[in-house]
Amino acid sequence: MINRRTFLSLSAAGAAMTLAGPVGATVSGIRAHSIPKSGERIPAIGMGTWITFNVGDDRALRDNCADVLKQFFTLGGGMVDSSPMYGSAEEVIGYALNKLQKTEGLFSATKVWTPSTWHGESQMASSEKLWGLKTFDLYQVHNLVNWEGHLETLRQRKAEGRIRYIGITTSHGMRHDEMAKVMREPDVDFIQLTYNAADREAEQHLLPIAADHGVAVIANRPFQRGALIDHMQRHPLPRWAADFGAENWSQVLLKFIISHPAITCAIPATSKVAHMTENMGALSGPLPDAKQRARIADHVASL
Amino acid sequence: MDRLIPFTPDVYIDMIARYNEGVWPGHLAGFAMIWGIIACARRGGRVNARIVLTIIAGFWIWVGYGFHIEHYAQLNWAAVAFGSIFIAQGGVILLWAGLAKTANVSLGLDRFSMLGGMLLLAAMALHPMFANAVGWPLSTMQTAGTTPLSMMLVNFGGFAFLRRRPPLWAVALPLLWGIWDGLWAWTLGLWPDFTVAAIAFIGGILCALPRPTHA
Repeated sequence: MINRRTFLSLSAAGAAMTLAGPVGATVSGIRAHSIPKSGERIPAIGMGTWITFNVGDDRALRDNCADVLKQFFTLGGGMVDSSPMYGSAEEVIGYALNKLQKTEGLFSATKVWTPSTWHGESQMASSEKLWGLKTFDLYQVHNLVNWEGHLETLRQRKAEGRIRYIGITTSHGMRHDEMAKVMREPDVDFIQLTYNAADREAEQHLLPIAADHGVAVIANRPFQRGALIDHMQRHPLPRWAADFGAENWSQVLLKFIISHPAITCAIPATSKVAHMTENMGALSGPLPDAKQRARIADHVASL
Repeated sequence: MDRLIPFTPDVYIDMIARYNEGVWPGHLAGFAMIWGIIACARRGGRVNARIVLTIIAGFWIWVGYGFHIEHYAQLNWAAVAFGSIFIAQGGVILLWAGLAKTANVSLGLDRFSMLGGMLLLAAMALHPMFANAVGWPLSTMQTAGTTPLSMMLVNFGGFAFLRRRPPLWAVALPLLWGIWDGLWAWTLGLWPDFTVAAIAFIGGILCALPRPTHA
């Protein structure tokens, strides 16, 4: 559980972030990582919306999502990631943004996910409407579906100033060989892949390629859809977690991810304000060094 | 499997509740149709067989459009495809009803009649019974053939009254759906749904068995 002191420091840092203006400003207390191709800095913890924001049109559940998003922004969050694949998630994000009357600080990231290039364009128009935004910070090709066709559309949109960055995504360790090929395209600013303390396959090839080519990396499934953190929480938090400022398992797992030098941002998803508070705690304090990272990985593997 | 389920169990149950509120009092029509199947089977004959098949086709089309496309699609990207397949299956059963010259139904004391009766009874009462047992509210219950799970039972129940085994194409899709429904209900921990899907699947296998020659 987060204590009062941590909550207050996070809140102060989040407020400072808000006062400092658009995302990218360097604010002490909030860990921000640079997007290699632009130098723009974004908070190293973002928010995923897979499952958690797919709540249909239930008003109470939508309001709860708005509360989670509010807490995310309050504690200095920036990147919100979604996809047309996530059911009603984009619509619920739009509802929450409208309710909060806030897009300042938001780093909007969504995806195009259809085999048809033509349908991709109408899907993008639909996403703009659902989010209530005219431009997106990051547009990604979801799971590499028709990436050749969609990259062309995204290049055009970037040239028109309708999106700022282009990305491609995968998850669950799928199609890493193809990803390695696509991420060498000069227009690809971001990749998104699965990386966490229990799934480190990306360390072998994709993360070194991303570092070499100056591609920003978003880590999805940081808690393996909750299974990893549920498992870890059955065990006591090791004392050495305090050495890098982690007060709970979510912060251990998130700090492990964002301490990898190639990782730009991790995007945990939650439907609980309290869990959001815990997650955002990973934005403050020191990160584990190489030795501590190895210790975390070994400990997770042993459990 | 988790990549194919983009929502939590609570959100799914909530969606069912809102769907039930939305289609009420359509459930009464569903109950009437189920009793219509039983009445037709009791009368027997080819005309009544066609009516039974038409009612079953109507359930497929309704669930395909009213449940999948109109409601479930909000939560699951695959629901439009599911709905289209359900509507196509309904259309094919409708064609079968129109073209089949040898289809016949009966309701007696034979084991297929018993099976049909039990499956139709289950379509009306089984999920509410299990859901009540685990403390779900009345609004979340799946009954009267208005959801895919309940409709599978109606489908197999109606098929059980046929005096010849239903063709393989007619039972293949509902059996596959039973497996799918059971798998994801298991994954989400929805025990009432899993149990009903398992019963529907077993009922589907039994209703597809060859009829005794004296039947």
